[in-house]
Amino acid sequence: MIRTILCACLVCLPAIASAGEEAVGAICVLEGPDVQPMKDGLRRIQRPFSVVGKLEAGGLGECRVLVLCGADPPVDENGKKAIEAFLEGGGAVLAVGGGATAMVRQKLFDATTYYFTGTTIHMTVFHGYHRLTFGYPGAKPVEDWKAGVPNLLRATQGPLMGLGPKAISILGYDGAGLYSAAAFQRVGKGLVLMIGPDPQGGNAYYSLDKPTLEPGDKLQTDLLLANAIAFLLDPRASLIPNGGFEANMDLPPEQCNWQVALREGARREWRREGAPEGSGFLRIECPQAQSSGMVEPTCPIVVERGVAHRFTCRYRASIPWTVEFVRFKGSPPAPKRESAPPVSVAASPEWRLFTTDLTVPADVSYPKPVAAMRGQGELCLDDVGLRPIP
Amino acid sequence: MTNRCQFVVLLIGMCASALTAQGGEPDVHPKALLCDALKRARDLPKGSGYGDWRGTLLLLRIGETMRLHGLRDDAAGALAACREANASSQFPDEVKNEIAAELCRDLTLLGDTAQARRIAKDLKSRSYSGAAWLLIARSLQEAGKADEAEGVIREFLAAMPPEARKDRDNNLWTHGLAELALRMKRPELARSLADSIQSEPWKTGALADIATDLARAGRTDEALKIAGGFSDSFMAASGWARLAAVFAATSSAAPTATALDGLNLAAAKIKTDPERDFALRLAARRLAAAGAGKEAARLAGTVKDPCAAALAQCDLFAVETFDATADAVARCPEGDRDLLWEAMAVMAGRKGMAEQAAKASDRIASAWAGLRARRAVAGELADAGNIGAARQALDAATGLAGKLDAPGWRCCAHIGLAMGYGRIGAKEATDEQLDKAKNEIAQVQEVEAREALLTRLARAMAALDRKPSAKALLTETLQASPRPSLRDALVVLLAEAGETEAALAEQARARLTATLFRRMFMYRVAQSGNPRRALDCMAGLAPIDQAEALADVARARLRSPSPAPWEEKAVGVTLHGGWRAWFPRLERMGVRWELMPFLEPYEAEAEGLRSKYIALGFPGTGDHFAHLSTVGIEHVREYIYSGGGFMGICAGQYLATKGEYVTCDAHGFRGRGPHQVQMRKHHLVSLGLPPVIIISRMNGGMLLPGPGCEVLGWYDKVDRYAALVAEQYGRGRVVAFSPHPEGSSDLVPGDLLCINALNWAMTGLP
Repeated sequence: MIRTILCACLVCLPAIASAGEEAVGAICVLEGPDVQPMKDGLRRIQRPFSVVGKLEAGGLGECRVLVLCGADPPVDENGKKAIEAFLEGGGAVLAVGGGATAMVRQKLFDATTYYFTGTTIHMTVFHGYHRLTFGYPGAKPVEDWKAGVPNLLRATQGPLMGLGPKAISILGYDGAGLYSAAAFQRVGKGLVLMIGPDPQGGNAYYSLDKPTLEPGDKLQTDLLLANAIAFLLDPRASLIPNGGFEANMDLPPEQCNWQVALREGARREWRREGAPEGSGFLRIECPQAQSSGMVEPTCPIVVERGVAHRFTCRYRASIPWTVEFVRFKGSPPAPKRESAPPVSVAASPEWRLFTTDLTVPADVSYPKPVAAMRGQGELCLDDVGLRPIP
Repeated sequence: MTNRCQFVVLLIGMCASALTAQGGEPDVHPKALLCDALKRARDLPKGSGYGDWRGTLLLLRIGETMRLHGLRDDAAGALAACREANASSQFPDEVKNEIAAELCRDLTLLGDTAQARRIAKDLKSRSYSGAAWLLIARSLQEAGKADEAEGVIREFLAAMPPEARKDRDNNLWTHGLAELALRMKRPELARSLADSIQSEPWKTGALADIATDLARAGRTDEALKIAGGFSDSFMAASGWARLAAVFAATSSAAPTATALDGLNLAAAKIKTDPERDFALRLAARRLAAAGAGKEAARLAGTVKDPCAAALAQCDLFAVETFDATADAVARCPEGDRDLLWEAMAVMAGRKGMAEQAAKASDRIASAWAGLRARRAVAGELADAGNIGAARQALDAATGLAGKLDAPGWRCCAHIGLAMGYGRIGAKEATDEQLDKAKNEIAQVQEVEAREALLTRLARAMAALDRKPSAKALLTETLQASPRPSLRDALVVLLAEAGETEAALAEQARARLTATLFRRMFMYRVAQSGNPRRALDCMAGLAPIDQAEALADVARARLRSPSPAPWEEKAVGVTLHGGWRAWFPRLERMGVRWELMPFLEPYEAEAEGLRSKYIALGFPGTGDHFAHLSTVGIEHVREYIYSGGGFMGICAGQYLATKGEYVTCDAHGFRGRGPHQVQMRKHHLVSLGLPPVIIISRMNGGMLLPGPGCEVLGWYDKVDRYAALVAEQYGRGRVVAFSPHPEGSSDLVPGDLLCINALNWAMTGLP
């Protein structure tokens, strides 16, 4: 207890750490009404955090991720300035539920808000793959996930967000795509990730995971929190889910994250032996000259506009093949798909690393790498990644 | 089974030959069309869940259409194919069970009761097995085979395992069968069924049916003895009220007093005030209808809640009670008073009291509600033959139309008034209102609203037999290159209005874009006696839609079967989706309910549906479009437009919005959980309800109402997305709920909302 309080005072004055919280950490939770579910969630995913009692300029110390959550976190004018300074300095903000409301209210995020009266459980759709969505929908979706990601998000009374041009949507609701459920935005050197419905809040809805919540329980929505924290602590990791073809490859494309189009007798195979990385790789075999195969992530990838990204993969190919970065312009849920000139890759009988850089155009938020081969031969792919270049 | 399959294959081969026998020209004989549809349905690729579902439903419809065309052997083949497809399909068990229950009915109608009984017996789900037995027995009863129906019911009873007697749905169907047994004049059978019911409310309901039947037959002592076994307080109060009404109608003073004592005792045991008030109001209404005005007034006087008390006064409304009723209204919350004046006006109109109706209408502050009330009053007076007074009510309403702020709402007002004037044969006034409506449309800025109003106006013109005006409006709009969605709707309307040549010319100029509209168009063209030309429009449709279109065209060549009208019309709840919560509520409301086979709106046209059903219920869960098909959607539309009631919840709401029975779009938005619905007091359905009702949503769409669509409750505080809407559609009434208020069995606000909505859909009053 003494150590906890001392460390909290050292790291983020005037932060106040409660008993039980780990005092020093990259993650700080702003105290306020109804933040306990978030604290419980962070404990379940084993992320140490400290608690900030009040936001003041320079008061966030070594904090790297500030969590604004609960019903109504106290973000006043001074708090706004503290957050602005924190973001300018390269910090990251995770704002969920009432935290998202506060960010929009203080004009710290480019969005408008809409609220249903009452609490409801939102089902979301991917506007594209993002670190936040990794692991969803999982091998056993609760229902037909194509109509949404059921139970992915629970709501307190958080906002539905109508995004402005600076923000990029990760998750939406089906229908006309008017609202975003989760979105991010670069602010200075920092990053803001907003999740309107509060995945850890809405304590009336634990029944979706279990009838009653007991210590040590893992909630479906904990993955979302874990993903959010991991993304904000290290935004440079690969944005492509299941890039090593390790999981769920015997399931439909929606669940394994990859779709493969085959023509004229071409076959796909998920091999578990001989992978250069991990325990599996994807092999496409075209038996004749007219055969062709095309591999692409099931959804486009959510990226930061105008930022350089590096595409990498390991490959083995008996004939040349191509990579094309298809671009999606406009707003979800039906952005316009545009082709781009493909990059040709030479054949290689041995496993090789392929790397190419691309700068995402300023009007594109959702590119998608498409690997294609045509003619008799084979193409093996593994460890596919797309990362922002520092 | 194998032989039957071989027979079907052979039949298909023969039909295919028949199709090519005329040098490529399609054979439009129903048999050829249906055999072609059957072949295509069987050839559809298997494996995609939704496609399988639609394909299986299509086989069922083809079989039914064959039966209606008298092609019994072909029908048997199609139904066998349907059964096979249903057994091997991957779609949800509920849907498979629904189809199986429906198959039981169709096989019974085809004369194959033995197979129908086997299917019913094999159904693992008791909920659907009971439904299947009920459909078999009812089909037999309607076909005049009461003895066979009795055999089926006894088989159901014998096959019921002891543990099934506790099953909620089993009790429901057993009650339904008991009611059927009474209609078949088999009181002993009804008694056996009632005795097997374990649930107290259902058992009491069944016993009340039997006791009432005995009382009507003059067997007073037996009736009273059975009534002594009533156990559920609410249903007991309802049952005693029914008995009291029968005794009062036959001037049996002593039994009436006994029944009233029973009613009072039962009412005293009802646990909550809202339930007691509701039971007493129902009882008062029954007694008043039986001529026991004094007893009715005494009961109405014991209703505690001011709104319920005022409504009870309205039910008993008479010239001399106007002031007393007005006093009762004055005691109600201010927000409810306009609605109560409206209810009072409509009730006065229904009772032919034109002066009192006008007085009550004059008390309504809101222009729209005042106009709506006067229109309703005019309708009631016209129905009663008082054309002069109806005209006066309409003339008074006309003055209010100009007071409405928005041109869209003024347009709706004029369309409604035109319908009113048309009903009383006031030609000039009708035309004047139609012209005004058209002029208002030009003032509407929002494209979607303008389009919706144009279709409303064109439909009204066609319904009012202003076909040249309708054609001129449609042609003029089509010439202005409307958006594809509007164009599709208008071309279908052109065909529906009998302007087949003009419609075909439009379709030839540019094909309709939406499959639903194209199939509606083909159906209308075929109905006008041009099946071959309807088939010319089939190119480009997906294989399953082509097969469906062939069946539709064959259906269009049928004259609608004319079932014998039911003595007491029922609320028909379709056998698709979550019907469970509907029947207990209807039972408590004292309303006759029936399980409506989901094929019935496909088979029967508006007139056939209206001869049986006072309102139709479409529950949540599922896809009513697939189950009704284009033809069913159109028949339901005609049913409502000609005066029927409609209530749709969740998936049923989608039927209302996408089928355009209400001027409202639905914005798909998945999610579930309780919403605090912000209620508004603009409509009779909202009468007596609190300002906020917590209602759970199960992925129901957000509603975006247009002019004429009245919002009962919003999902938010900024009036962006509506949760509950209601609208007059032609002469009928539509209620569409996005969330599910029907889950509770207590008289909580959500329950009262449902009761108000069902009552309004049925009768125009809450």
